[in-house]
Amino acid sequence: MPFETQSARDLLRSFPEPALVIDHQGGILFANVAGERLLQPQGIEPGTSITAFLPEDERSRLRPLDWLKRWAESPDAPELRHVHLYCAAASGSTIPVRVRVGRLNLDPPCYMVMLQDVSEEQARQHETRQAQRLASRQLAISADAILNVDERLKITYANAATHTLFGYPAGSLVGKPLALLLPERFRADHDKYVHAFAAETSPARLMGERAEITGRHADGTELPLEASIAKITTDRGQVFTAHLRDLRERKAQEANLRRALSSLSTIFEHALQAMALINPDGTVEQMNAAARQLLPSGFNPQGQAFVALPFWSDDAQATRTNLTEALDSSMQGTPVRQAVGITMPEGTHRTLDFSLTPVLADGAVVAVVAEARDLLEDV
Amino acid sequence: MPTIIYVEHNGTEHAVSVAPGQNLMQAAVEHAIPGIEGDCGGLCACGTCHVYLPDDLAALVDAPDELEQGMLEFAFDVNDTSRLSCQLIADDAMDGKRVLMPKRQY
Ligand code: FES
Repeated sequence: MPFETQSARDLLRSFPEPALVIDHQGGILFANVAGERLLQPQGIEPGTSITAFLPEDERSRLRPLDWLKRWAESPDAPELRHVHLYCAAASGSTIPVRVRVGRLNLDPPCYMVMLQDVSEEQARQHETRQAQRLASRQLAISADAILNVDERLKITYANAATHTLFGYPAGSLVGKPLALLLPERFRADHDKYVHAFAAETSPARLMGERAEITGRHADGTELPLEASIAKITTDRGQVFTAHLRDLRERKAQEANLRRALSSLSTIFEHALQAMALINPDGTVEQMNAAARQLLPSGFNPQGQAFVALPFWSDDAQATRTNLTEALDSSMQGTPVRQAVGITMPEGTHRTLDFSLTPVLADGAVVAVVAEARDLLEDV
Repeated sequence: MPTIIYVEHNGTEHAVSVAPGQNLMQAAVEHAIPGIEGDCGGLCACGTCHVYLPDDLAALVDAPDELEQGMLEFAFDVNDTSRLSCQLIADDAMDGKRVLMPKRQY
């Protein structure tokens, strides 16, 4: 049959998208092949109400015929782009469909309803949205400050930790220049740094790969920070994303530790008793001033075997065996205390009250502290 | 800024500070609260930002207009306390109030 004489009905019948013609009461007058395939492949009995193909569900208030009529009159209604009807498909499942409606000028009027299965589109959209939610939750709970900056170095995103770290009210940093978060004296250099990074081929610079940076808190104080940055090319140009870690606590801990260590080493060095710190391999790590006086001048004890130091008495063999045993047992974790004889550089003998105390860390002996006190001077 | 507590259908609560003037759908989407979709971006044209308002919050807002009532037809599990959250504008009086979310938006 030539195209001109093909009836409208036949054309519609072979139209690839599901299409129905309904009367003004919602009775189906005609369904094309694709429509029957979607709803009822055995064929739809003329006059069946379209409501028969709506799933029995929680949307009991929906009056589909009213909406179809309304959409026929206003094909640009915004909800047409966003709402889905659900139909009980032949497959037994419920399928979301996008709907288009046209009015056929008959008396009484009829409506042509086009259906488009959007289940795949909807599933994809759900997946994307779930992934987005997960990602944004991760950003929200991150202890690190995470922010994005555009090519003009304007902040386009900042997570909650960024606002807390820099002391700004939640959400207020978006749209602000990155310079706000930097001390004045670093701003120019930082701009150069970012532009250099934009030009280079590496996609990211990670914490540890670059020196510490300094940020500026809203109250004007400076913040020591560790930073990773990455660049992402988007349709709207380059985006830089930075992860910033607050180093204040680590710095304070380091300073405390340094203070504690320097007090301890002063106490050690200037103690009146002779003291030595012995490594697990039996060599001397350190000796204090009082202990060094027992050695010939110029003798450097560090790294020497403790039991072979020159001051042990002349009946050396016995003393050494005894000392070796004592050191071994202290290395096993048992403190030792005994009297030991030594010979001073100028040849006098002394007897010392001598102790070995194991130093434990996480249950293991990491060093032994030797201490000696003069008992009496032998002449 | 008022804090609104969004309660998921399973009872999980999300406290969010919402700028006065912002609608409750926008704030939920910005904070990635599961349970509110907001497909139309707040045009009152999708019905996927459906919530239930407890009495104390309902007393603070105007009754739904005709457009919103119409779009509520497309929401699931609708009852007398149902509203579309994109039509509810936050203000300071709402501080600490709870909004309940339905089991599904699709
Ligand atoms: S967001 Fe679409 S109706 Fe509220």
